[in-house]
Amino acid sequence: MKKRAFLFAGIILLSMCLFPLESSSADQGYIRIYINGPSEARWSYNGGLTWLSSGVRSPRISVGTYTVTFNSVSGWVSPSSLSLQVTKNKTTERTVTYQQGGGGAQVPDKWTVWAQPSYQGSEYSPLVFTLVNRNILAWVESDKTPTASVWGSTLKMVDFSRSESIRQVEFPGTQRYLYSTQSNAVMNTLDANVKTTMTDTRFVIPELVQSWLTLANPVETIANQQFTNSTVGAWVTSWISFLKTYTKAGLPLSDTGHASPVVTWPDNAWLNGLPGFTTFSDGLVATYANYGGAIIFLPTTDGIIHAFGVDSDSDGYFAELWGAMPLSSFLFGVYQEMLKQTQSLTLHPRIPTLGAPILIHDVEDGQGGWVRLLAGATGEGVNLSVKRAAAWDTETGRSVSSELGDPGSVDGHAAGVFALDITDPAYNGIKQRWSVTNIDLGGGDGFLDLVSSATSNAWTKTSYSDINSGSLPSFAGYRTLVMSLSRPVAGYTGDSSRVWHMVLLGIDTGNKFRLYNINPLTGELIGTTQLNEIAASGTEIDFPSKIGAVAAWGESTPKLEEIYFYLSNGSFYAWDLDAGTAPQSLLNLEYRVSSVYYNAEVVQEFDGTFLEVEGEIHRFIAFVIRLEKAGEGQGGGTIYGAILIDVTKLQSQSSLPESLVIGGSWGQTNVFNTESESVSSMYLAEQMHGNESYPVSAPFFYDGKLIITATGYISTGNPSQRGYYGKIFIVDPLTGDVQTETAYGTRFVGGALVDESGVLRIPTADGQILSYDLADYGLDVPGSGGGANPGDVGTIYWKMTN
Amino acid sequence: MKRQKGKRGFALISVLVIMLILTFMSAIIMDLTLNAHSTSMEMIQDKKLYNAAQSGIKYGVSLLRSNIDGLASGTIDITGSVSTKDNVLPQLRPAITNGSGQSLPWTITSFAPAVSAVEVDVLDCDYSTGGTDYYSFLPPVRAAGSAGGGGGSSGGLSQIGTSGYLDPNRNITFLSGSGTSRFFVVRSTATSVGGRTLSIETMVVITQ
Repeated sequence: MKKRAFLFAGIILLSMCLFPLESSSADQGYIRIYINGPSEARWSYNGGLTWLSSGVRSPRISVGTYTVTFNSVSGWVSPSSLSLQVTKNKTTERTVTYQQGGGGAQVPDKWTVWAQPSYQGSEYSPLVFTLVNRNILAWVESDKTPTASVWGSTLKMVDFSRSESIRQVEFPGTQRYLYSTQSNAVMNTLDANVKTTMTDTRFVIPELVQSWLTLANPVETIANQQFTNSTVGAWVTSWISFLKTYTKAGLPLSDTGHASPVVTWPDNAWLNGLPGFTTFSDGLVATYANYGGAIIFLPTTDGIIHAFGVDSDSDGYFAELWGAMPLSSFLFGVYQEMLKQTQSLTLHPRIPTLGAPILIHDVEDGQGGWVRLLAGATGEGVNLSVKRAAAWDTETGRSVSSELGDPGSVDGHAAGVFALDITDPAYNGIKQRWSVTNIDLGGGDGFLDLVSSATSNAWTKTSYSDINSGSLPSFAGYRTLVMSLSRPVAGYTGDSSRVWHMVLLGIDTGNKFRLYNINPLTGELIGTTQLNEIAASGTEIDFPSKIGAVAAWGESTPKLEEIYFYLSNGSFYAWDLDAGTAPQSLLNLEYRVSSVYYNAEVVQEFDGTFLEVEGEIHRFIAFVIRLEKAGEGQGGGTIYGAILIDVTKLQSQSSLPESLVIGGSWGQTNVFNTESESVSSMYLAEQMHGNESYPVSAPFFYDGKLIITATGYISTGNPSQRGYYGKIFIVDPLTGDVQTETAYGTRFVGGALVDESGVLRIPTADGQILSYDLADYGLDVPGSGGGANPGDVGTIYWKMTN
Repeated sequence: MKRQKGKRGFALISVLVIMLILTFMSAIIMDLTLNAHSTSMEMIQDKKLYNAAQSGIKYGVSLLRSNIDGLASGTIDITGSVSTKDNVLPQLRPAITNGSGQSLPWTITSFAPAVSAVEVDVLDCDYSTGGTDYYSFLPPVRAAGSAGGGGGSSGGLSQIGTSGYLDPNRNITFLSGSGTSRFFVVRSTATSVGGRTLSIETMVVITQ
């Protein structure tokens, strides 16, 4: 009997040990979610492992905090995820609502988020330009909050002069969002009433569209975007009211389109040799010190250019200073309002109103005077159409552009180019320097009447007759611009008398590439050059063309003698703007799949240097292209490769452009292949057979080597090395020797930076910073600064050391 | 109407509880206010330290520049223990005296009373330790180089092999004159009356 009692006791004790859940069952509870919305709506308490319908109670789950997420349903906007506390023996209940926006685009009730991050479509854009001899790296990552079906972006940064900690954006409690009106020299806050006289120059070109809008009730036909029409005028007022009403505090940033963050310091080493610049730059030091020594600028597709300080405190955050909407983007808003009204949407649609990379550059303004400009284009622009509902709900894939639809009553295109004066980067110092757009909001007096009663209207607007008669050639050329997704180039021509330029590469109304040579101070066109190159807008949106300038031999200032551009149709050009000669077509790159030839697209900014070849100095240019290979999973699919061009040798050829079929010999890794006398290439992969990598930053030359950072996924080979990996290629451009460094089990994100001590820094997806001292690979730190005369001083670096 | 005793007692307790809560809240608000005041005072102090340290940098660069012609050239071979800061740094200090006749490092006290002192040091980067050991107090090694043409020299000022992309974030330029580029690190540490410090370091290149 005693034995049996001991046996029972033993069984009970053993059971308690083996089945602790039973013993802790009292520490469990439930969650129940009620959903107002479509029947397909589901919720999950365990990250999507289990999906439950509305009103269904969860199984018994341990007490604690749970994040409840919601699935995506086509045509609906999912609620934001919930953080719920489960308590002992209780059922925690909530009711949520899926939102339906009518027959058009689906958007959340806060306007900062965009349907998809662009790099879901093309994976490597937007990334950052590789920084050399700098200490702050900033990059954008996708942020899926606040709803389960809508994506936003988050900006991260590291200031390596202080620490290697990745810091997050913190929006201030009181936000300063600025917009441009035609009557303001200084951009206004959205709730400001005081307006001053505008002294800048901006321009509106009427878009020639017959029967631009037809209303059914009341029946009304509105021509040429006549927003002074009483019905449409009310929409503009509604749009402005919307801008004033919604705060972005606590929300993620909108998608950044093709734009990446630009870190800006007071100095620009390329301008030290020009009169008055060091004085100008020294004057900015104290101002920038107020924000931690540098400012990060980032455009987002909701039309706002954000500015962030890099404050020196150690709380892990950095703050937004202000957001400013250039006039060209502000004007896009009327289409959002129009579509909301005409399609009975309950929420505003989101037409991308900024989406191209921005340029920040200092430009001479009169003798010894300088201004700091932030310039760019509206990007993809809008075909006066709205995205279909499906575009807003898709979370993966690259089909956004194909989802664009043309509502029957709307036709034409809208695009814009702008420059802000950010010499004074304080929120009340930002000015709209100029803005050009083909959107016309009014009957000859812009949209001033619609937003304020300000006087001294300095708005400039042209008429069709002016354009047709050619009396306004300095602006009329903008009418041809459909889209521009390339970062503009800034620099000067001439010697003692310098003329400054901003060169924009875009696609024109003839579906050809065109160069817009712009006066950066006024926005006036110095000229345009149409290239005999057919452009495919869809390809351009996925893989934008790249344009940049490199310093000519013996030159240390931005004299535009060597501009290079690689078009999304596979054509590579050189252009000496200083000489005034026509762009020279050098090379066409193609690839072949199953006997069909395709254009090879470029996927990052390029770089250029000089190298000594057989006793002569040769110009070299390097970039990375993307192409397709037949098959799937065994080396097939999308692959990437570095291209190295001996431009000097190429230009000496009698027949140009040279046409090459690239990638045919790719297969071996870490090897440069000779494609022609002037061109070589290297397949970017860790191993063969489906282990490709794509570049995470622009390739760059450093102490005689070409450096490329890339990341990919290994699906075959050594099991311990499978999964994501990051890889650094250090290439000798003359011998083709390749050194590599591979980091297994991690994925590179956000670009790369080489600090002033020669350490390559790369962030990873899991929040680490990988550092590689390039001295370990035999590379010395390149010099910086200096001057021609005894006593000239240049700063190599500056940092706080505690 | 006759008021019941129990209800009167309850009211008294309620008043006491409310007073207790108000007292706690006042204490919390006072604490927060003092904290905020303390934080803002620290920020002001940090700003003063920053300005003083930055002035020290400018002071050091200015004196270095005005004395650059007479400075000895050639790579400095460090003798003695490389790991000992007090042994190494004096060997890297150029022979420059300030207006008060002080040799490096210089101490500036003109920021009183907000900042008690700023110490400024200048170190020549053209040196060799004869080894590869790294110590945080050592400035980066930068050999002097000639400052001429696109070809440049081993000072790292060559266009050959270096990124020539015209962008402010490619912080590299190439010299076009003659003369020798000398590289120096200038360090400035400001100390407050209360003992807080803020240090700034910069590397400059000066054409000799």
